[in-house]
Amino acid sequence: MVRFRKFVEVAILLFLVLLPLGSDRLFSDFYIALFLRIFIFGILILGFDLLSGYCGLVSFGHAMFFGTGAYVAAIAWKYLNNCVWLGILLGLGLNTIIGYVLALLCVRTRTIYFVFLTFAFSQFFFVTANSWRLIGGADGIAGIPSPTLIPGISLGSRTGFYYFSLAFLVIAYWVARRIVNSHFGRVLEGIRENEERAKFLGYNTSLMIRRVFLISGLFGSLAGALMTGFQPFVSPYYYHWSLSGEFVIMEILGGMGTLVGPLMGTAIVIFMGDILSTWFKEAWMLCLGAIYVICILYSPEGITGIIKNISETGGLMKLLNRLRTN
Amino acid sequence: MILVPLSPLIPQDIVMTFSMIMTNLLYGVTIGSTYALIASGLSIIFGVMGVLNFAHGSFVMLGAYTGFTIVKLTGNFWVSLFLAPLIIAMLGGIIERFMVCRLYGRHVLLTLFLTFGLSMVFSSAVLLIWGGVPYSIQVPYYFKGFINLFGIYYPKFRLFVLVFSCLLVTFLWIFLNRSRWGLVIRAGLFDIETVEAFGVDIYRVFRLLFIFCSGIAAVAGVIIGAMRSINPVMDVDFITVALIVIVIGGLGSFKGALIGSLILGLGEAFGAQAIPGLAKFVTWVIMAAVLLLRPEGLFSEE
Amino acid sequence: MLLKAENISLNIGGLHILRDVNLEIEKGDITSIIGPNGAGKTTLFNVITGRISPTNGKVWLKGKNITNLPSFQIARIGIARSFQITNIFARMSVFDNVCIAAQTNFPFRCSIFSQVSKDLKTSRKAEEILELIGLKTVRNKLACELSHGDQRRLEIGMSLAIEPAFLMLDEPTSGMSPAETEATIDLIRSVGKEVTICLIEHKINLVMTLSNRIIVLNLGEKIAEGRPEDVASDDKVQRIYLGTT
Repeated sequence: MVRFRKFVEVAILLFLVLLPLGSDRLFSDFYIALFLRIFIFGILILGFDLLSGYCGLVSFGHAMFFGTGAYVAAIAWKYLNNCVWLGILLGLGLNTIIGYVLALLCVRTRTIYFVFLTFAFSQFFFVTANSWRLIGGADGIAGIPSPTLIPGISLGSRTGFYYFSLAFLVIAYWVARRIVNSHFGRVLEGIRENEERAKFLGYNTSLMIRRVFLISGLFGSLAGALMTGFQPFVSPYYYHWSLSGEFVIMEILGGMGTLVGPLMGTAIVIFMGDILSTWFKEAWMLCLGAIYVICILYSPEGITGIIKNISETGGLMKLLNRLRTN
Repeated sequence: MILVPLSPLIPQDIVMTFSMIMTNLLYGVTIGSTYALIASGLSIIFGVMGVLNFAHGSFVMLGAYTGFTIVKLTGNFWVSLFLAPLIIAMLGGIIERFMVCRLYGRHVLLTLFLTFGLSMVFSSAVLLIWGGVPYSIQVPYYFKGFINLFGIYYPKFRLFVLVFSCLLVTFLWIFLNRSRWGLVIRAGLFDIETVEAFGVDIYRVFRLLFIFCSGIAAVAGVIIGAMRSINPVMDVDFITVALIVIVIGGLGSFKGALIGSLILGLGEAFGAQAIPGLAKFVTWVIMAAVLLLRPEGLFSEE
Repeated sequence: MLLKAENISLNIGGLHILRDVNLEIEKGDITSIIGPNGAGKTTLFNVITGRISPTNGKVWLKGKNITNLPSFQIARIGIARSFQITNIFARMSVFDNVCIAAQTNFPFRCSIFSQVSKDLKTSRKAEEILELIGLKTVRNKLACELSHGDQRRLEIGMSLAIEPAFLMLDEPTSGMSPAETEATIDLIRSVGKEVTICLIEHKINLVMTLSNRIIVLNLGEKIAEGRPEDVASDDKVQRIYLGTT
């Protein structure tokens, strides 16, 4: 299974690297932008999967890291210097502080508290961003210059930024894989299964949970900064609960705790959002929500769950039969 | 009341401050009691059923919008106050019967994921059906205007909301503490397995509880919709408030929901007076303080 | 003296769950704590292992005060315990369960960097434990797929894997068949040569054959203590188990 996965990984990577070469001739530039959004949210979702899939703590407010990363990058690039690293690093810095403080507040005795505490606190960020005149209030910040790789070398066109983000996605995936396969990662899964048992074996579970929360926030921060590089404006929408909701949907549709699953989920949600919003305009959110609800009811392990079921029960027909009898 | 005849002898500032405090107090309790209707339902559903109904705020919103439409169609506020919660309660029943029911006994977060998805669906549905323009429910003419209460002027309808919510909360309290069904619910808050062992059909209890709490949430929606405005994002405001109340008051505690709602309501009312721009942050400050000092909530049943 | 519990009392809401319980356990002992249901045996375990804070009293391990330390620290200092209701990692494999326990012995236990696939030390230790508890053949099964008895043995194995100085087992043979119980008794006896053990048990014959000391609790108080023969012939003990004659 691992060998198959590695093969798929390389194949997809190859496809993504060669994709921009086909633009203009095979398809419009539109797909570059689409894949860019998949890369950006993919980076966030990898961190999200570490927290919710592997550690079992689902954050309903991950947009707060994303939004902060985006806003800090925006302010840095517009008012300080548009070197890309400045925005990224400052964002990581601020999000480290936020992640640390929030971890202390949100990691409580009952894990269910975590879910809605993250939600409640992300609402705080949204309300702040929406009303704070200094950072633009409801209008956000516009007119952000394109970031440069190093002062002098611009990141160029959409394509240049495409490869830049793809590189980060690859690195993020590699880091996430290594964390998952590390000793820390194994204990994390134990915490997900039975935190008390992990504690009584001698693991400082609170500390470990706070650590993974911080790490997942940093993934989100990077994604936010890249988003600002992609679109030259930021708005309080980046803190909106519906965005946090989309992250949860991406995670669950793909399959929690698999890394590749949520990445697939991200691609699915973004493609679907695109297709649905052309066909259904305002109703696309409703359709996405409905598909998600159906997924929860019939296949909570998402796409990876379905794939696993198919390979185990031997075929799609058998799977559908089994679903019918369940 | 005593001060009013004496007012020529007391500096105007003190009288004004007194009336300001009284107004804020009244408003805080008014708002707090409506929050109590919402938060207590959420808290009890979780305590008894283990379901965190993220769509609870949506029920409030749907109650408000349904109430609005009924008032527009019938022109009668009382019909709407009666009918809208009934409709939403039925919706709650359908959701419990066909969706929530299937997830009992499975991973505790699954129902949360489900209700979260439902809240997104409802949110978009409201936007599609009613549009993004804020509305307000028309109140009967006799509720318009102000009433003179102990020398201060308080909007008549808010007084109605205050009285009505307090009555309803009191009724809930009596129901919980004095009736047989209430006993079952309180026992269920403590240990649902034992309740089942006594031969009670807990799935029926779950269904009725879910229907009942959805209805109460919708009632709150109607009266809040008439007192303030109705907009397609109000579900988020109310679920956020309800969750914060639960953090403060403790999960699964009716008393905690009451006290927490009161604290939040008063905080909101006085905060709006004292620090206008920052009033909305009072709620988060209170929540953070409770988390740091008493993480399981003020009245946790643990 | 390995463990000393001094004047442990626990009151919750007016209920005296434990009253002035004193306990001294020497290294190498196999001590059993017995008593009717509700006597406070598991609660005493919870106090010692840091799951609950006592209202009064202190606990000392190897001369160190561990009274209000968090559970994970007490585990690290050297107490491992099993629970009345089996506490394992249900949806992970038996092998992974033991590995997570075995991992705690090495400096890379929580390392984000060191990779599991390169780690031979933990797997070796895990294999040893699996051999000891006799679950080697089912190492790849999910823990939830094991029989009840095997799950309880897995939990004992995991507790042993952290190389504790003091092992506390809460009704280790509950729900086991006679054959499984025999096997577990043998296991405990052989382990008891290196590790100090304290058990809570209801099976009196097991308690008599295994332990060299017995402590009897009733309604939160210690009412008897000593060698098995002495405790068995104690009047008070006979009264609470057999009723007044």
